[in-house]
Amino acid sequence: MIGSAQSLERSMIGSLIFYGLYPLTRLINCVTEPLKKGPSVSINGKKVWDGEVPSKRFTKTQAGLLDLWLSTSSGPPKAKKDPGRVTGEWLKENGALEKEKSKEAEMKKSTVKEVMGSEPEKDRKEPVLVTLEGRLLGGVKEDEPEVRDGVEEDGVREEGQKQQDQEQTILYSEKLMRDDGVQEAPCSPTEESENSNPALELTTETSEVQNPSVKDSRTTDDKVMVHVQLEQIVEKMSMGESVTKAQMQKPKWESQTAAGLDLSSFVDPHASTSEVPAEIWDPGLDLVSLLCEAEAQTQPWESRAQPPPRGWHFPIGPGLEEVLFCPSTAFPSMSYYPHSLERETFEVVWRVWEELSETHTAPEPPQRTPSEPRPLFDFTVMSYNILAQDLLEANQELYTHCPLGVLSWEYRFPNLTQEFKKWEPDILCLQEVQENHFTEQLHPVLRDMGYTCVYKRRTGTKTDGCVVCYRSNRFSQVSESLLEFYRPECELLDRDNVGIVLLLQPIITQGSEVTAKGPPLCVATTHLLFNTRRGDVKLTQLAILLAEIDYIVRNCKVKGEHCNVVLCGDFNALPNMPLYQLITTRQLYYHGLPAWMISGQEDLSYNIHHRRVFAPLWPSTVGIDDNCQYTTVNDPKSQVTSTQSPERNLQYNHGYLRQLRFCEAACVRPQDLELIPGVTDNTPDPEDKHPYTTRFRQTISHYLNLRSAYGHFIPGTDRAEVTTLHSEVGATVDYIFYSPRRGISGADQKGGGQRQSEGLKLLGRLSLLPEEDLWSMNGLPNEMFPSDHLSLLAKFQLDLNPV
Amino acid sequence: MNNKFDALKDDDSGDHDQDQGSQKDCEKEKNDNDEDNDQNTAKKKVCVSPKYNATIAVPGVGEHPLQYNYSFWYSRRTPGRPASTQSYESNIKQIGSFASVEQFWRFYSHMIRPGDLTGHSDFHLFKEGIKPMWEDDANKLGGKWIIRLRKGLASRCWENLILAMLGEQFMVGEEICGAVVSVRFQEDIISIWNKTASDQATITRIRDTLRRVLNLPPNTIMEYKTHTDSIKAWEDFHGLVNAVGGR
Repeated sequence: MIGSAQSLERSMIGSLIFYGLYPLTRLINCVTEPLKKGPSVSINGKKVWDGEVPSKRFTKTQAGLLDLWLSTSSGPPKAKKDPGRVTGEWLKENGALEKEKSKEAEMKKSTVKEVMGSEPEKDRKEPVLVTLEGRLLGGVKEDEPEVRDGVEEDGVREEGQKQQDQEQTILYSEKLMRDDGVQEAPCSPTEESENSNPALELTTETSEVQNPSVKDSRTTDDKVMVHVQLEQIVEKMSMGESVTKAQMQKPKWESQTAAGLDLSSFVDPHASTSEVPAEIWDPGLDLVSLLCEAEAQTQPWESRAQPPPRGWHFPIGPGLEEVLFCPSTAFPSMSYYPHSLERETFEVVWRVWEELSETHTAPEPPQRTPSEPRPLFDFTVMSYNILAQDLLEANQELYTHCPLGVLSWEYRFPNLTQEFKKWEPDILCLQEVQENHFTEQLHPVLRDMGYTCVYKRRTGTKTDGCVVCYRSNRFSQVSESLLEFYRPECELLDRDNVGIVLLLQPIITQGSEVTAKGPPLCVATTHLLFNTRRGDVKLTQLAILLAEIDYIVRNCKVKGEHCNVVLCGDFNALPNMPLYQLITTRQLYYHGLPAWMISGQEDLSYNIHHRRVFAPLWPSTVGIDDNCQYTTVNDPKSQVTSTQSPERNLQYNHGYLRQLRFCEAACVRPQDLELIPGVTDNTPDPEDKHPYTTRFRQTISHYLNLRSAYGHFIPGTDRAEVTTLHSEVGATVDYIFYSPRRGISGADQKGGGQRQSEGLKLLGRLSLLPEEDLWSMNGLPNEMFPSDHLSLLAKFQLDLNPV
Repeated sequence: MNNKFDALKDDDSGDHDQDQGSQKDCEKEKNDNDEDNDQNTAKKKVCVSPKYNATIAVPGVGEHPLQYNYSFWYSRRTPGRPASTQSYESNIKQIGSFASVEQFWRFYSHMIRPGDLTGHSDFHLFKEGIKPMWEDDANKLGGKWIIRLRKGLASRCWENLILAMLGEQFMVGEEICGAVVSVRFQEDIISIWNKTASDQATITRIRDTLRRVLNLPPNTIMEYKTHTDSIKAWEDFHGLVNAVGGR
């Protein structure tokens, strides 16, 4: 890779300048990678037209030409056109939409204008965020008002559309500016007029390319910044209030003639129209933003209405597909080249609501109808590690790929609350909630939204913690348990992680009247230790949490109630690794496992010496047995069990009973015990370590039936979902586990009716994204997603038909 | 383990254990003789301990009391002798009763693990006052869950089963009568008896608890058999009309 990079460097430099926008490394990656693979562009797992890039590398003459330019010290022009490639797929995603309307909507969505402001002082470009709903989720700040111009068309129309479409499936669409280093020749008005669809009632004003002024900022670095200003006035909607004005910067070369000719031969001018109000803030480079129109060739209507886009991008150099398919492995290197991040990719990325139940209809965020005639209770659960600011600042090396702007709490907080308000989950479990941020900002907001919050700060000097919030009009709280995993007497448990376990009861209201209460729901969240080498600690922390859940569930069972469980949070372990297996398969044989393997966050198998895990995993002082149950029934809490039963009910679990196995009294042979050789002539031997008698087997297990709400792969693909992403890691570590409805209830004879109402039915979830898509948005956090984790959101159904 | 009975050739030989004095051999007969006395009404906690003059087992000071008192029984089919009600009843021996966790361990720890038993043997653990027989008042309307185990699993499963029973983890009120582990030639069988074979909810709950505490693989076959059916099958097998018990 390095070798090839160097060999290409020469031509790359030329191309860089030529395109002006690309960081060296990025460009190399982008160019070289496609040469090997040449995959087609796909978004959300669907294949998209790639623009038919004719050529992928420079010829020698072209390279030479670029060198020539370089020597002229004139800045290369940059223009970027990135058509939104959102078209047909979007339709599919949305499901059945009216075709005409969907066309229009797509048209709008698909065509995106990107305007890039250029600013000399800053290096980065910020992606433009557009929500298809017309809502800007991301950074709407404009640092460089003068430079950037967003052109919007069809603002009005889009809104109409949105109301129909948007609410359904598309959560976010993000538009990122891509600077592919496409030289933009003058925008041709004609083309633009073509692009604008008259049928759409757009009054498109011809965009004019105005005198490009070349501003060449060549810094001492190898980054070349060229400014060309190109002003393009696009159009103004008849109804739209947004006047779109595109400024296109156009390079002015002295050597324009020579270069221009050559360029023109292979560069197609492009006209851009933008429709969706896109706001751009561009703290970064001095780049000129251009608007591009996205044409979806895949759309029949488009082909009818408009001529197929010709050469709207990259006649040479990397095409859309190359850019989108930069290998993910190359991304971490970005952290070494913070300046090279001005990769502006136009792409629409969305998180789709995945409906998992045919019977269910409303895909969108929770509509809670207070009066629900059906004996069903739907609720949503969100789990979200929101990245504590203190931790962010303590680990800045993980976020060097991010513009500083998106890392500030002041910037992230509104985005967080926006996300909460967007989904209004009935239960909200947060991790890495900084205490002062919670008390001063988050809690007031959540309280106003109708949440009751339970906060638990981590122990020690840590400033963050976990929160469980529930909507007070949906649930009532039965009990709460705040767990600290730090145990001073236990060397193993010297970490400051915490967990929260709530026992909630659904409230069924009719009108304003509470008509019934549903079966209990145990909600637990935690943020397990991150340390990739200490799987033993993670397991023990998890066991403490499971023991508390088990305790609560069994208490319900004593009262004859089935308690459903939702366990979510940041477990700092990958899917299908041992810790995950323990949760989902209820059992783990851990004896001899390397500690790092338990979470599998990183492969440390190259180490010669592993810390391995041996039985017993944790000392008995923890008070939890290898079935992840409390060993002490005399625990004050367990008294509750006794008191609930009218008569004395002496319950003991196995672990507790076995504690007394070799107590002094038990080792004395009973006087009345007849000696039957071979039957009663055994001698108690405390050293006797039969696998079935030792308090700690080499296996740990638990009694909770838990399943993950997510499948950990993008459905229909082999691409892994990621819930967290920064410069070192992109992986799934966050989960929502739930107690599923039992499928084999038919086997139950009499209790069949009751069984069927037990368990939760997963109705849907907010889809996650693969790593590539997130890197195309500059990784996490970014303008849209304010944390280095994504939120997980799942919708469950509770059958209230008891017995 | 200390298989001191390796030298044992015959079950009822009454061999002394070499290492331990067998001062209690004499009690064996006494036990058998007294057994007929316990015509109890099969109510829980009615002590019918044959040997100890109906003294009810009580937890010692500072010990952890159990919800119910229990008795251990042991039976072994004598080779060559035909199975009959008489032989069954005479072959079953009560080992002892206990009322607390500590007392339980005291007995249990001095007993051989089921997996190390030889021959055609059974351990029974029943609530005090309930005889491990179909005909007992507490059992006659009942039934049992049966799990067949391949060799090697009996000891662990048995322990898990009885700990769940002693610890009241089945949560079916007073429905549980007792548990049995049967050591056979090619397999071992554990079963748990309950009082009411027609109580489907209870039976279901017992089954689920069994699955849980025994960590059984999902495909483990569990069979519920009413004692009525057991008696009928036994009668059919032996061609008897008036069977009072048997296995």
